[in-house]
Amino acid sequence: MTAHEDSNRPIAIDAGSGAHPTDTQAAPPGINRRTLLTGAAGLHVGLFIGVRGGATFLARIRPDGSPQDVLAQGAEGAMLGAYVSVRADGGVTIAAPVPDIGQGVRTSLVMLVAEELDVDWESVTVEQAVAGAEFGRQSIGGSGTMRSYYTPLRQAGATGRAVLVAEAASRWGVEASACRTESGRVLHDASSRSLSYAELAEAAAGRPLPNAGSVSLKSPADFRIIGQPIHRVDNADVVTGRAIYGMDARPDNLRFAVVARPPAIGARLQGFDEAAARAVPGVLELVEGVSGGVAVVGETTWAALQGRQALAPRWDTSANAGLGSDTIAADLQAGVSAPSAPDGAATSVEAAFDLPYLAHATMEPMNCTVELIDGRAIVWAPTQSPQGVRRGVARGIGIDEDAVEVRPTLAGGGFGRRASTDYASEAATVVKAVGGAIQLLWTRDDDLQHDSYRPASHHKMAAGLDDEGNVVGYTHRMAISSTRGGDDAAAAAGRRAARVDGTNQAGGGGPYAIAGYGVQSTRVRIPVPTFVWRSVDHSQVNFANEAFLDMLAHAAQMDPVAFRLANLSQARLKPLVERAAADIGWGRDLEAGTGLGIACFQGYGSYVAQAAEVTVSSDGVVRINRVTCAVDCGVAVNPSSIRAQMEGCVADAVATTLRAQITLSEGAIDQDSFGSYEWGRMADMPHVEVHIVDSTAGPGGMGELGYPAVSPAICNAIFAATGKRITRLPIRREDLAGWAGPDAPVDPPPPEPDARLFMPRVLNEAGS
Amino acid sequence: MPTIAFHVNDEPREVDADGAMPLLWALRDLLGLTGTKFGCGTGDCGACTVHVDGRAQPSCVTELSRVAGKQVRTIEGLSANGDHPLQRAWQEHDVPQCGYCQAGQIMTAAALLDSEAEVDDARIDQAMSGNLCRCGTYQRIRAAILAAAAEVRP
Ligand code: FES
Ligand code: FES
Repeated sequence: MTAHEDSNRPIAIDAGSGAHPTDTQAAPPGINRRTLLTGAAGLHVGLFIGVRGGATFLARIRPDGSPQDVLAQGAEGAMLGAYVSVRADGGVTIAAPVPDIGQGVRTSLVMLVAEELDVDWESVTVEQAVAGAEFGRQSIGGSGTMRSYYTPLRQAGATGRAVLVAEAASRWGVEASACRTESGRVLHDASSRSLSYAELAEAAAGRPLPNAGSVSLKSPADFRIIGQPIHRVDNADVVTGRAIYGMDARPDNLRFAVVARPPAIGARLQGFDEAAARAVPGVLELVEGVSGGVAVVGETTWAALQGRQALAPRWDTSANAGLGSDTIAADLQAGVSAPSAPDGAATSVEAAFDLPYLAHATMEPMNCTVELIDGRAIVWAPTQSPQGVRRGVARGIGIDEDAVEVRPTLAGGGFGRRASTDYASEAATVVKAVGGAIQLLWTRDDDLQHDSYRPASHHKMAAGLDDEGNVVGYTHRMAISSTRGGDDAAAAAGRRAARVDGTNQAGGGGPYAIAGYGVQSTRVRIPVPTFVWRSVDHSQVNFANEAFLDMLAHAAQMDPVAFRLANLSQARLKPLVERAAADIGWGRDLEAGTGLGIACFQGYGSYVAQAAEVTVSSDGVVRINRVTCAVDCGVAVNPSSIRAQMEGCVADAVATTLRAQITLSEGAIDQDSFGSYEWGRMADMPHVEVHIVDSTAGPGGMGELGYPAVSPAICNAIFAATGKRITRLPIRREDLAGWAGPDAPVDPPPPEPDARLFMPRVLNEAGS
Repeated sequence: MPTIAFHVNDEPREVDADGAMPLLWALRDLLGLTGTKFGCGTGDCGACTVHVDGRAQPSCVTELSRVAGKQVRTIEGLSANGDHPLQRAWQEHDVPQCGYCQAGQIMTAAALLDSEAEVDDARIDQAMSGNLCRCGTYQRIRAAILAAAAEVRP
């Protein structure tokens, strides 16, 4: 039988389940991505190419999709893998090793494999890898995915290409070097022969693999897929409602659970009305001891929600009754002393900035679905940490990790929130108690009130300028809310500072050639849970630094763009500052009430400058008209995704500059809905223009890059428009008080406001 | 429990459920139509938007009893082959990031285009104001709506 006789049969190595969708849209009923996710259609046997520490492995895929025999060879440590299978019809299935939370890696990572394998993008189908050690570290965060996978996944593709070429060359009795590949075929031009990958794959899979480090990778000039604005592979499923998110998992006999959670931090359950909850039609079970509260299991989500309401739990909320946003602000402000400007400076500038807690508020609330069958668990989780979910569920149920299969679904946003796995542990606790299949869901109020938040922070800054406007000293002290404290504080602060890469004083190497530029971080112990949020500490640190630099520029009587260019030492940032400024039309005449601001950021291996055009009305309404972004992220693997990340970061920054914040009263979070935690809407969205620098440097991170410079650019633009220096976010109407509106003269800009508590001060003489 | 009958995507359906149950949970948990998403349950985000007798509304705050005898359309039934002009424009403009809000966005936009031939930026701002996108895809949503509107304009 030749490969072509059975067109449904995956050709590589052996066939498991015969049918495999060549296209999730055109797949026959019952075999689409949904059934793949729910496991109804067995994953087929294919060619697995694993790359570990420069060595390449070839393995058979078991019918459940796991390449266990790789592990059986004793592979240890981090292994980045992808599996590729070539079908008889020439289609290629490539696994996305990590989950997609909206950043587009199901597209961009697979592009890397397809590029080096040298197949047409149209022939590629993407599958999501289950959680497993064979895929190396599968957690995503810190904008590290593309950076860590760029070379290994290209090597995986190139290795596959190398064995396919070797097989063709040996059949033809020619040198491999005399062959080339194109669009899923190996060609020998001298004899005008060619073979498709489908014809070669089965035999190729039996060949010894070359060492991954020895295969040659394409030169960027030959890229046909990398660098193209390839559309997301999930678009068709998303726009038709077929895409499967965590909440869409539907194993048989699924029941639904919600948890009555403590209404304040540290609140303790004192009692609840069990009878009333059980009397609600459709309520099936109550489970105590889930995150300090009670889980209600129902036939439908609605029954569970009704049961939760009927439960009417009573709580002791005294533990943190004295905790509120006012006490937190005072603690943070007391957490660091004000630095003084350097001796001998001609001009001293001091300022203080305050930033609030922020919730992640992913569009799809936290949820996890677990099915327990004969001591084994299948888990559907929208997560940034499939292996963390696997550990959490195994521990929660009390079974081995080997007995837990995690199938990452699409995730409705992440932003750092889904790097935690609390939702999975809760689902495990409930399923352990009641068995069967459970979908545990957080409601929006659960989500906003029980998040681990972007920490609130307070910043005290001082710097000096000499007669010529040179910065002669710079100090930035940050007090940041932390749930850690005590003896750990100093060590934690050290780690914290070190994590603020490139801007911490100790490490030097910030983008500016300014002595002392960076941040000294002090953790202040406050019992509000905190965790990573898009761009981590950079979201606070860069706001303070870039707003303060604007103040220094004005104090030096220099244009803010020129001032940055004069002080930047990072060569990759300078052209970006120039470009973002040029694109916004820096220096042009503006209507009164409209201003331009600029800021920049380096981090995660990438660089960005962003300029904002802002209009402030007479009554203090801030409207952000445009944001221009100039980005250097090394090789731009998928420009459409890179632009999308920039647009998303700008939207986040607009929301958190204008409105969104988490506040506390009497130990409880005040916000409980998108009505009170106000995120940006269509009308708030400025026009975003993104310029991506041509580069062949290794890729940098993108998920967080676009956030840290936008808020300072906006606030710097507000200063340019109104003379009002914004020193806290979100902006309050009263922070613009005294701004007389667009009819007032704005040229020259009004001076900085007088010294006030936590407002910036510009002192004309040192020590005054 | 009463039986409530209505049409979903042109098919007659019946559910045995409390009439106070929001349509969202009936669609998702009883009828298996998971394309309609839960984002807040309070009418603040639009992720759950469906059409009831042709009008866009948040299914999370629409009681089942209110749709008895009515025509409900969900994202799964917007077009036979996923080729509604908005669905095509959404793909061409590569709108989705996480994609979770997009069913609701498309359903709201579809009701807008059904009711009005001409849309402009201000009208889009207003009509889409109930639909939150936490990923910030608004610029592309706007472009996709304008492109689809240009296509369907008589
Ligand atoms: S889920 Fe209905 S408006 Fe948010
Ligand atoms: S695309 Fe993620 S919420 Fe809109």
